[in-house]
Amino acid sequence: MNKRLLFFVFFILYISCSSGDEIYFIGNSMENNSKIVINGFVNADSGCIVNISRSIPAISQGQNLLDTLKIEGVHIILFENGDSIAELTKNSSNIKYQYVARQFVPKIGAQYKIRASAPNFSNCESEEETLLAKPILKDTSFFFNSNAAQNDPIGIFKFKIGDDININRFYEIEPYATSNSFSLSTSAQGLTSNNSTVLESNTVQDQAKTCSNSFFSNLSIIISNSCYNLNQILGYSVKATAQTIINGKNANNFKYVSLTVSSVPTSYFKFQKANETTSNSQYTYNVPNQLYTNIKGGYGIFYTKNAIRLSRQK
Amino acid sequence: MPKNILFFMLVSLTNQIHCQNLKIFGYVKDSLSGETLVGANIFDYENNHGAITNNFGFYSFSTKNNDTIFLRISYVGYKVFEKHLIILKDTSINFYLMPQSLKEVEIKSTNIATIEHSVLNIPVDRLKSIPTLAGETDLMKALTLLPGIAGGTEGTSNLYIRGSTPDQNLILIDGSTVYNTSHLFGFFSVFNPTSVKTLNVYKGGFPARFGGRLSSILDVTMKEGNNQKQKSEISIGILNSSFATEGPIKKDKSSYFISGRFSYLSLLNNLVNQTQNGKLSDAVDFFIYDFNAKVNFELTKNQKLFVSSYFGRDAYDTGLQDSGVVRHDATRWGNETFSMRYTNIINSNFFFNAQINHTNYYLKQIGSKDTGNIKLYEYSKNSNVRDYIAKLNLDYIVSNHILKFGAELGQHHFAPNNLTVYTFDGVAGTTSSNQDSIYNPLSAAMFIEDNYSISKKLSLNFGLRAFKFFSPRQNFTSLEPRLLISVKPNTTQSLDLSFTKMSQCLHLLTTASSGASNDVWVPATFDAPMETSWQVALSLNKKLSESGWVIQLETYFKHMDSLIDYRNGVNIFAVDKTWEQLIEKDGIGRAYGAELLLKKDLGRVNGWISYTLSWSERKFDNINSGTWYYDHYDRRHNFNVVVQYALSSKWTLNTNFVLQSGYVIDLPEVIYYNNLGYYQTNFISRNNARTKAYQRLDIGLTKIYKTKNGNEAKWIFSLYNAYGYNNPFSVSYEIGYSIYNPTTVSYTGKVKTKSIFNFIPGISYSLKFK
Repeated sequence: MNKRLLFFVFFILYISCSSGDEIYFIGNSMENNSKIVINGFVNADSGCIVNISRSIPAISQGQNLLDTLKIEGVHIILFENGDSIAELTKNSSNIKYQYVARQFVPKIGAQYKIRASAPNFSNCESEEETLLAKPILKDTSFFFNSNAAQNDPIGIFKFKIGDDININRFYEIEPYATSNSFSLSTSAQGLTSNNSTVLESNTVQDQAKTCSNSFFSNLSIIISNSCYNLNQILGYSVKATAQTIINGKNANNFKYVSLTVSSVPTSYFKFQKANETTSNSQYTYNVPNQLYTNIKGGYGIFYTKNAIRLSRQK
Repeated sequence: MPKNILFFMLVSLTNQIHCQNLKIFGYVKDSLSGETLVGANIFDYENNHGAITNNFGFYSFSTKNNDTIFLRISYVGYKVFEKHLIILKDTSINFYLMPQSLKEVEIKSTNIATIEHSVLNIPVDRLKSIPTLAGETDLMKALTLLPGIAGGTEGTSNLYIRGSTPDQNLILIDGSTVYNTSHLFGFFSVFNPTSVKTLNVYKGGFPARFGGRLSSILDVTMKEGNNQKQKSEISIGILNSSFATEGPIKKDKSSYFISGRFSYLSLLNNLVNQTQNGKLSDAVDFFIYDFNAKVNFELTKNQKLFVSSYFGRDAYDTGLQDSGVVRHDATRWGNETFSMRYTNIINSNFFFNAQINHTNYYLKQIGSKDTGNIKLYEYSKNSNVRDYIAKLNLDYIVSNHILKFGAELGQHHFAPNNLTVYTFDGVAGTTSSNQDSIYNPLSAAMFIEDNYSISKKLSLNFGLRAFKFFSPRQNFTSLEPRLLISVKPNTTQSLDLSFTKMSQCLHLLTTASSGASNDVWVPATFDAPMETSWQVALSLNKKLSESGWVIQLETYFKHMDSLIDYRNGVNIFAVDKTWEQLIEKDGIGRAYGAELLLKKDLGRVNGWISYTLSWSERKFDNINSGTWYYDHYDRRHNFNVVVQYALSSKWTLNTNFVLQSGYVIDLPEVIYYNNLGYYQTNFISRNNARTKAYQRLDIGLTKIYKTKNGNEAKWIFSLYNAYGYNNPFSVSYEIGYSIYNPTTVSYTGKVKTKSIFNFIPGISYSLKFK
């Protein structure tokens, strides 16, 4: 009899354990939800351009983004080799500030970083990024087909990246083209270490087998010097193709095509790599992505770039 | 002086002759069916030592000439057999134990010697009595009620043992590896309970004879079949029906066992036919079946041959028709195993066992979308893993040593990913494919272990396993020391300490927590090296009372090296990447915790209470900025109560209650503008959130009675999740933008959880023919 009573009490205890349907989070992962976001770079040719905004919690309902992303009273400082060389405070209520500093000449080899602060936000600053020299391009050759048919190359560039072998150096190669009527969406589609022929391979897989430290973003490809065999500089080529259809007809008539090759730091490579994978993150079987940031105390990316451009005009 | 030495040697020799060790060996069997009993305890109370039957029901131990011994042979669910014997020479004795039903249970005190360090060996019949989903008996799910073992998401049958992932569990059925244990996305396991004789789980302290996985060994032995009398059984449930038949081929000499199971879900909708007739509407279809078969032959008095096989298939189809566009997705997967084992009692000292094992697991996913005239897309993804393994094992029993040594050779086949995708861009279609490399590596292993009884109170099990894996571009070698120190101050308590090193040369790529929808097995390669681990465990076992209460306390720490995980943001259906490009490698892991088991095996009220406090963490350079983070199946607390109460001679009440920490999930944390001016949702850290705690009460009522014609009938009534608690089955994050005008953008981001299996009643009926 006592055992039966004990069972009954046990059963009632079980039932009383029922509770609500909420989600709990580990630790403080959701508390750091409002930080300053820095997106900018130092360009050897044009100074420094920085966009400042703020972040909001991803899990929130009924938010007006334009309101929630507002940030006021931002104070920004640009450092060169540890010294403040430009400073700005803005009090407007724009949702993001574009901070442009052109009153200085960037120095190759100098280290740059940006710091931002605002009322009610913790300070944040970027890691130091070194401004690298322009890439040295050798043995360049160029083919331009202004009347390229759909999916045919409009520009084929062949070149070698200079003698300066630096393992931790990255290059961004960015094609661009225009037609009579409008700018084209253009994509770089091939890069391998094969320098004997114009590259036709068109998958990341093929080039990545050759070099694991490279990837495609939407319009550009970033490669690493660690891809090189140090004893033999290989030639690289990029084939840019375009597809423009107006009223069902091929409307390619290109006026201009160019290829920009930039020296960029490792952090930019990591950031773009994360950006690229994020664009696929809506697939069912995708692994959630973590964006790379080099902003301590905030989000975003600050980097340096030094570019050289090859171009042909009709 | 020399005379003294001579005298000493003569005295020693005389003593040796007088104390000459004699062997008692043989089998322990079920007296009704003739089935050998695995893990039965033979204990000599006069000399306080004994043995446990091996996987073939064989035992052997030493005693002294002219000694009177008092043997007690025990096995849970059987009447204890006791016998006084005087041994004059090596003696072969087969013991036959009588099964006992619950109502006539006699309480015999549990010998602490039957408790193995870090091993769970709950009798299958006890596990079968635990109420589960829809009344379907499921051994894998029942195991999750034991300490150190966590289940996956609601309703699934994967095991997460001491912070492991499912691929770190070596699951063997009659010695053959089972790569996927799930039917119907894990809602029930591939092990048909009617075909299973024993099920042992090794969580640590692994003997050297086991290897190939980091975290656990789940050793399943199939029934051999009744060699005395023809027996059959049918079972009808809500999801499945099954049958089993067994009997002697030649009485006392050979027998067979055959069982099969199939689901009725396929009757709900025949999707394929509807598609062909162009009448497809939204539909889901499942088709599941499996078969087990085993035969055994007693070739001579000392030689036996066993042949067994498992064959199982799953098919899952979905169809969707919307505005003339028809979409069809299908997943197929299946396991096949084949084992042939030969045993020979060479003499009282040697037990020989040779076996050949084959395993085949495949996964196929296909899908298409078309408008009737135009094919919009089509995909096909295949994955396959096969093993052929030959093993030789020898048990050598001498004095107070039980030496086990052996070798195995394996040939493996991995075809990780064969993906073909056709897409149509409005003008033309393109087909792209990605065929991962096919690997055919070889493996070889040798082991030696010694179970050395130093004294009545102290014993050691130490050994070494050497393993070599011949992989493309790189071979892997592993030397794995194993040590177990066991102290038994008396027959009521024991203290065990173990150290083990393990390795595994294969990885599992999966993103799903349920079933086999996207499991891909890959070998260790140059880019994804062999995983290794070491584990230290300390356990204390104590018999609390003569009525059968036993408490087991255990604590452990495990370190893992060379782990892999998917890279951030990858799409596993990407056609432009090999599997090695999708992974992060060189990860490390650690798992640690404490486990408590308070159990009572026998009596009218029996069951157990288990509690596990554990941590499981991972660290990769490129995930979470190289900091430690919780593994997806980290469970801080896991509390279970399992009670069986014999209400009467016919009715039994079974209940179990589960309360455990929620599982770890990924949720985006912030949204902001990226450098291109777009809104960017960011997962700052992986596994950054945890669902609410999981809890469930299951109740089952079992009625067993004899029908008029003498058959044994059994009704099982069950209530799964009796108070209907909403346990999260899936968690999804939804993001929405609404642009009202150029200056107003509304944003919503919210988390949704879905629950299934709230308050699921079940009923099943089985009939054992006399």
